[in-house]
Parts: sequence; C-alpha cells; structure tokens
Amino acid sequence: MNRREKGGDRLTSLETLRYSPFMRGRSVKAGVVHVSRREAHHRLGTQTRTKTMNNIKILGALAAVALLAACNQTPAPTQASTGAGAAQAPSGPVPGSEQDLVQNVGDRVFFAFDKSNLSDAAKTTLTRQADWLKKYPQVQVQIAGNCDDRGTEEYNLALGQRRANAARDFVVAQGVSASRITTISYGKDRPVALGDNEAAWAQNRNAITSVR
Amino acid sequence: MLTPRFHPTRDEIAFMSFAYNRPRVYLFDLTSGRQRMLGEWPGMTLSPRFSPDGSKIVLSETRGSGANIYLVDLASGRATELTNSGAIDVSPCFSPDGSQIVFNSDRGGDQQLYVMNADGSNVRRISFGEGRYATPVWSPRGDLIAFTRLSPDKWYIGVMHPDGTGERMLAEGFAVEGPTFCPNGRVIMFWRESPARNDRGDGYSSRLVTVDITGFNERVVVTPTDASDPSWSPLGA
Repeated sequence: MNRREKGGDRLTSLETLRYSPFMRGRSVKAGVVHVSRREAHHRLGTQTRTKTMNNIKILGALAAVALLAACNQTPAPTQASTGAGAAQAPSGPVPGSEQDLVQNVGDRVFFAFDKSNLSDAAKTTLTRQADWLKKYPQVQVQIAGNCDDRGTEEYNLALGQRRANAARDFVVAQGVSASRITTISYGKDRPVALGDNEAAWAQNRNAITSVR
Repeated sequence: MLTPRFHPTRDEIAFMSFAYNRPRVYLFDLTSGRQRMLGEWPGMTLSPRFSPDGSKIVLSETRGSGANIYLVDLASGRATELTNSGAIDVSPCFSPDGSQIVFNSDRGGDQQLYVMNADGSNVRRISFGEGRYATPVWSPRGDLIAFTRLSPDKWYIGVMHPDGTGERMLAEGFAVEGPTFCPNGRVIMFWRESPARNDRGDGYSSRLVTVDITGFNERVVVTPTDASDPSWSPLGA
C-alpha cells in the first residue's frame, strides 16, 4: 500500500500496473482497488507486484495509482440565476445536499486517541445530523470512520468501523431509520490532514457523514 | 488494496480490497489473473492469512463494535467462528504446525498479543511489556513470534517466544510495522514510515526494510515508489 504519490509517479505506476503480469487481461478498474493513504480524497488505484530477490519472491503492495482524482466535495448544483423562482431563490447550498450538510449541519465528529466514545460536542453534531436527515427523508448517507496513523493498519480498520458504528447508532437512536445509513471504515488510509503532529492526528480521528 | 499474503504452495495471494466501496478479503490466482471475493459477509473482512497447508484462511470480520476471527475452509467455503469477545480481534496468524493461532486483541483494554488453539480454545495472553502490541507473525521454525510494539513516540519491531518469554527489539522508529519472515527465518522484513515535517506532508516516506533476527544489518529494500505491507513468500511458491 502506498501512502502518497507525486504526480510524476502516478502515470508510471498506472503503466506498470496495466502491463504487470498480475493484471494481464484484467481491466484496471475492475482490479484491486486501493485507497491510498495520504492521498487526496477519492483517488483510487492499485498496484501489486512481485520482485525476485535471492530466488525468493517478495510481495508488497506498492504505489497506488490515481485513477480518479475527483474532489471530495461534489459541487452542489448551482442555483440557476435565471428562470422561474430566481427572484426568491436564496443563496447558499441546495437544501438537503452534501454542501448543505457540510456548511449548515456539520459533517464530522472527532474522537480521542484509540477511542470510539462520543463526546458532548460529537453528540451535538450528530443530533443536528439526525434532525437534518428527518427533514430530508429522501437523503441516504454514508458514515465513514477514520483513524490517525499512530496505530497499526489492520487494527485501525476495525477501530474506524467502531467509530462509524458509534456515530450511526447515535443517529439511529434519534429516530432516523438505520436503512438510510451505510457505514465504512478507511482505517488510517484517508487522512484529512497530512501532518504528523497532534493537531493533524486529532483531525484524522473522525467519523464523516456524506450524502450517497 | 491492502495486506497481500502468499498461499504456502500455490501461486495465489489473499488480500483486502476496497473495490466497490465494500472492504472485503479477496483471493487472487496469479496464474490465471482471476480474483474472487472470499465468501459473503455482512461486515468488513480483513487481515487474511492462509493456514500452513493452504486449505484454509483465517481472517477477521467486523461485527458490532468489535471484530471476530473466523476460519474459512477454502474447499467448502464454510466459516467457523473462533473468537467472539466483543473486542477487536485482528491479525490472526497460524503457527507453522497449524495447531495454534496468534492474534492481537484489545479485550484487556488495549492491543495485546494472544495465542489460542486452532479451534479457538485455550486463549492466553503472551505480551506484557510496555505499550501496545500488534501484527504478530509466527516464524517458519515455530520458535519465535515477530510483532509491532507501539509506544506513543516510537514503534518497534520485536520478537518473542510463543510463550511470551525472551522478548527483544530488532528495529525501531517513528513508525515501523508489519514484520514478515523470510523462509529460513533469519531475516525479517517490515515497513518504515518517516513522519511528515509539515502540514503538506512533505518529508513523509514509506520504505521496506530488512533486518536480521539478530537485530543487526538493517537494509532498505529498493522499490520503485513508496511501499508497505510486505509479505515474504514461502520457499517454492
């Protein structure tokens, strides 16, 4: 698993992947998908390769490839500046949109190191999210649990799931149907902040709600 | 994708993928290039490892606020639950004779190493040093378990005997993780991350490193780009 790429490496990696014996006959997109750490949001890609050394094969996950460099925040549809109703159209995000959630509700809650219990601030945010979800009953969301990188990979995958579940359970307890919420964990592989200091780690220990 | 691991005899690897936003364990046949998801699970499946005879995979599935360990028979697809502690039980690894499994669990409050019989019975904790312990792997000869040990400022790669005695550290750093033994057991590979020196992530790197089990002769393995999650194949694979 790779953590971060420079732009130049990315193309090379993609080419290597495409012509790797591992991937022969496979479509890149249908192959293994790697969510690399320290990557910009939603860049998915993969590369695995073997290397012969002293007659022994060593397998490692190398160099993720940026296949999709999409931005995290899909811009909300802009309010039409012309047309019927334009005179009354308020500025700001479309009600019930991802941007509405981010700007007016709060899309994320934070956790202490190696913990998944909800702080009072987290409960306040999740209560607002629950009220918002009740107001827009057609909206479905994903809650993603994330961790800082001061834990091991496999454990952090499970810890991130525990955080996502804690957030989901609270929202469901406020009266939102569990069927509207999916959860996922990215462990330590999708940090919001790229630094290695307490401020960055605190930002990366979170559960982020996004509109599906 | 994450955590690729070799089959002991076939050209096949088990790994974990986030394909289709469904994090699950997959099997990848290197000869045919075909891959398949291993079973249907309601939760996320992770940390796969083959049994020494290659007929089974031991893995974890998240359930509730924890993760349980399962043994999956590859021929029948049948899964047997080995742990159900409500805690996070991950990173299971068989002893080379197939009789025992080492894993890490936070059932005691934080991550520590535990050994159990391969049927899930007789669970006992083996790590008692300072800090948290993770990613245990059994040596090919069965005499050592290598692990990651975490303290707030520094991580270590270490080894101990399967009964928890004889613990010693082989390598250390800001973040060193995921030991894997070479087939004769004399060398361990792991990965080392250097911390970012600013909030743009500059200075961050992730490299594969080998060290002798004596704790000497540390070497960086040349890879085309940053790398992590090394897995050393068994002889003949």
